[in-house]
Amino acid sequence: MTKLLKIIRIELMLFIRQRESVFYTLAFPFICLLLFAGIWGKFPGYINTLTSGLTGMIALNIAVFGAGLVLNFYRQHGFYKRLTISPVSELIYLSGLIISRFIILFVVANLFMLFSYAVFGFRIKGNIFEVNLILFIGTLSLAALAVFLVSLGRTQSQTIQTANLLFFPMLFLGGTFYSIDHLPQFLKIIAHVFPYTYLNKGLSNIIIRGTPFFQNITELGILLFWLILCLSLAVKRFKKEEVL
Amino acid sequence: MAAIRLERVTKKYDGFTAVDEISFTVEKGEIFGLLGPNGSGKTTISEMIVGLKKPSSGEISVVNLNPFFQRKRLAGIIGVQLDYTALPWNIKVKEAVELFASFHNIKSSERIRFLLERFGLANKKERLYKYLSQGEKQRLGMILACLHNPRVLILDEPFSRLDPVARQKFFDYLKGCKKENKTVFINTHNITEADKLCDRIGIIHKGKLCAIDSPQSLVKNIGFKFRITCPANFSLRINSPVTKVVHTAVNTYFFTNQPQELIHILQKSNQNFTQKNVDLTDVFLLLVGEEFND
Repeated sequence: MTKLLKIIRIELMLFIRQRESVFYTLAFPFICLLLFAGIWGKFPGYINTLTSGLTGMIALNIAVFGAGLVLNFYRQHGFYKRLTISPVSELIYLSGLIISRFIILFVVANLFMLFSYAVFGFRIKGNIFEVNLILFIGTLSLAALAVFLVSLGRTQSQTIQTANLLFFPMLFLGGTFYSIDHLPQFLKIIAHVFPYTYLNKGLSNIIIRGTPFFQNITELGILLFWLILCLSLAVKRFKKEEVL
Repeated sequence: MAAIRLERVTKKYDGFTAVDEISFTVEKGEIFGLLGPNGSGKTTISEMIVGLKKPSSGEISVVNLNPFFQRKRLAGIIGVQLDYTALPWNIKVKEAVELFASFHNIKSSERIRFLLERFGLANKKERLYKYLSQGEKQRLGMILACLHNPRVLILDEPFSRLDPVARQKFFDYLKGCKKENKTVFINTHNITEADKLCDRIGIIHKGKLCAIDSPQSLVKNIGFKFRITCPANFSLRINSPVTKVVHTAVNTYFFTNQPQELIHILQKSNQNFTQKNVDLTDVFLLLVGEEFND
C-alpha cells in the first residue's frame, strides 16, 4: 500500500510538472467553455451540450496524453524496463499511474461542471455519481486505445504524432463542441467508430436527458468492447517486446 | 560458490546471433569484468543476467535463481545499473530515490542520505532528472542500484560518463563491496578501469568469449612480451614466427618476444616507432584484432 501511495503521489507531481498537460487538462476546457458559451451560449440547451462535451474532452485528454503517451514514453526511455527488474510489480506501477490520472480527472471534471453551473447555469438532469461512473469507464477505454495505438510508434516523434492523430479527429468528430447529428453522413460513420463518441453520448444521455446509467447499454457495451480489445492488444504488444 | 552462472547461452535476433554459446561463472565476492568492443554482445548478456531478455538457448542462474522466470525475486537481491537513462524526466533526484526505496521497503532516510552524499548528489536532491548532467544521471543510477545493499551488482558501462573524482569514489565503493563479499559484474569497454578493478576479465568479441582469466594471467598467457607501434602506412614483411602484426586505421602493431631484429630494421629505414611491454590493452587488441578502434 505504501508503494502504491508513493507511486500515486509521484505520478501526480509528474503530471503537474508537465506544463502542456496542465494547460490542456486544466486551462483549455475552461477557455473553450468561456469562448463557445460567449458565442453560442444564448441558444437553448447549448451550455449543457457544451459542458457535457468538454467534460468528455477532459477525459480524452487525460487518457491520450496523460496515460497513453506517458506510458509509451516510459517504454521508449527504458523506465518500463527498469520497472520490470525492480521488486515492484508493473501492474502496481500502472495502477498507481492510472489512479493518479483518475484523481486529476474527477477533480478537474467536477470543478469544471461546478464552474459551468455557477457561471452559466449548467444543469445535470441525471445523477452526478453516474456522470463520474461513465467518465471512469470511458477514460479507461480511451486510455487502453491510446496505450495500444501510441505504442505502434517506434520513435518519440512518431509516438507524439500518433497521439495527436488519435486525439484531434476524436475531439472534432466525437461531439465535443456540437452534436454529431450535424455532421455529414460520411463523417457520422467515422465518428461512430470512435469510443470517444460513445463516452460523449453516454455523458449527454445522463446529463441532458437524465437517462439512468445502466440504460446506456449501447454506449457502455461499445466502451467495454474497446476497453477489452485494446487492453488485450496492448498487453500482447508489451509482452512480445519483453521476450525480445 | 558461483553467484552468476552462464552455460552455453545463446541469444539470436531474427537469425542474427548476438551471443554465441557463452559459458562462464562469477564467484561470490568477485569483481568480474566483461570487456568487449561496441556491439560485441555485452549489453545483451547483462540484460539476460538481470532477466530483461530470455536466452534463445542455454541456462543462466543468478544466486541460484532463473533471472527471466524469477525476475521479481531476483530484483530484491541484485542491484542493476543499465547503460541507458531510464527515469521520468520531471522526477526530482530525491523523489526517484524515495520511490525506488519504497519498492525495496526501505524506510531509513539514513541510507538515502548516505548514498546521496557518497555519490555526490546530496546538494542536487531537489533537481529534476532532466536537468542533471550525464555523469550525475549515471551517479543517480548507481544510487538506485545500491539502495537495498544488494548481494550482487550488475553494472553496464558504469564509468563511461563519470569525471575522475566520481570515478575514484565509485572505485572505492566497489572495492568496499568486495570486502563485504558482494559480487560485482561490470560490463565495459574501458580496458584501463577493468584492469585496475577486476579480479577476472572475460573478453568478448562478436558474441563469443575469446578469453577469461585474471588481468595478469591474460597478459602473461598471450604469448608476447613486447609491442612495437608504427604508423599505419608502414608496411613490412615479417617472416618471423614469433611476431604477430595487427593493422588498425591509425597504427600497425608488431607483437614479439625478440624485438631487437625488428628495431634494427625500423632504425635502418628511419621509421618512427615506439616500444613497450605488452599490457591488457594489447591482449584486447590481439584478440579483437583489426576491428579494434585506436
